[in-house]
Amino acid sequence: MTAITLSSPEATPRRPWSSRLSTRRVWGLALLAPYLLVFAAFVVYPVSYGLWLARHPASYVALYNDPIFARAAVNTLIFLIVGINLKMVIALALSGFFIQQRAWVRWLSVLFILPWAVPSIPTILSVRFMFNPEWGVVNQLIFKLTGEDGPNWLNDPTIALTMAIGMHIWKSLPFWTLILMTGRLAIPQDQFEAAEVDGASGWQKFRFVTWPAMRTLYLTCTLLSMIWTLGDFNSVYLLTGGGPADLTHVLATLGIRYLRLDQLDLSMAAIVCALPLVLPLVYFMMKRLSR
Amino acid sequence: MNVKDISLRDVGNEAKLLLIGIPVLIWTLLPIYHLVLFAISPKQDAFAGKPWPDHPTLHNFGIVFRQQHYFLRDFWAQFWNSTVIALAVGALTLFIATCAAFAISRLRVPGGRTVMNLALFTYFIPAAFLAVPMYRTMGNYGLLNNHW
Repeated sequence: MTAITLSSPEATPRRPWSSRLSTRRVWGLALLAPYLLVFAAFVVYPVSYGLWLARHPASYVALYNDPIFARAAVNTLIFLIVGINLKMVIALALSGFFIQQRAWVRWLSVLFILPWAVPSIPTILSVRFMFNPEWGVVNQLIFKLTGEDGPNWLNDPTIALTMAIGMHIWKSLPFWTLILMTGRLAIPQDQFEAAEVDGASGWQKFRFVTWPAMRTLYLTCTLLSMIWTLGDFNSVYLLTGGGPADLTHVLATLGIRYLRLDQLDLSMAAIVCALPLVLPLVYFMMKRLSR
Repeated sequence: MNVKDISLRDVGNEAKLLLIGIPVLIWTLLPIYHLVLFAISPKQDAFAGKPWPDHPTLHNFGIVFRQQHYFLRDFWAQFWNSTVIALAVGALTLFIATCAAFAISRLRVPGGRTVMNLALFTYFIPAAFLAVPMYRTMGNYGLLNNHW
């Protein structure tokens, strides 16, 4: 410190170093340093390394020629468009249910948050076992009650993808319901009272009071959920493993599949293929949420 | 409006709420119920598709705790690892984040706002994007399948 202070007066005429590097700033930078190190090691480095791994055009050609890829891309779109919108609409409706001032609704909300709180591996495997076509509880019950064999569940591509979407909704619905609940609770109560006085019906109250106040939050949540879902491989990978016959992969699980086959460039290429979807969303979200 | 009208309407509302509440409860608890069911069922009951085992048992937990299965021979070591990871990650995250937050909000470090936006940006990176390169890096440095 002293050496810098002595040498600087001639070099920088405007402000001496001692005041520019005040104790406050030194402490500030020192406290920020661990965060920046973690950021460099666990965000900057993996992302750049990943992009570097995915640099060969050849890997995209190979990816494109892999018949699984087209199916995975379509599945990803179905997952995003159907899954996310369904989830958010249900979350919006349930948030109206859970703000009811009743003791039992509160108790129910405690239980309702469980899927989000419990680890995903045991619960997803539990569903996988439950729907096993041969010895799962569901099909055994169907057989006992009707005498017929139940559906093939996870061995049927359409049902399996539907169930993966259902699994995703089961897991993340509580979180988004909670967020939308806070949005509903932030609406001033007198607006509803005024609407009541004007003789508004339940639907009109939602349409003209709740929805205008919630619109921005709802859109933000939907976009954020889309970004997160693109990287989410748990609900597909643990439930169906991408099967049957690799027909239920999404881009994220396809990446994991190639990783296990030790084809790292293809693995990263599959994930990079999601970027055209992710980047506009990220750009939009950053504009919206950054300060 | 007399008292009877109000109570009738309340009953109607309550019924409508229950009509939502009960399916929500079943939807939420079914996988967790099945998880518990599997844990307390003897082997033959678990695969017989019984909604409740004839002889609920804690025997399965005994096998786990006494490491009596090939896959479970290191159960307590793994349990300890999980605990250490959970505690260390929690403590480190809290420490680093608190330091950074204090530097940004109280000490007003130059560039603090950029760092905040970077932190926000981290949330928008799909998890798979980080997982694959990190897995490879750990492999490169011989960190997989190794105590460190």
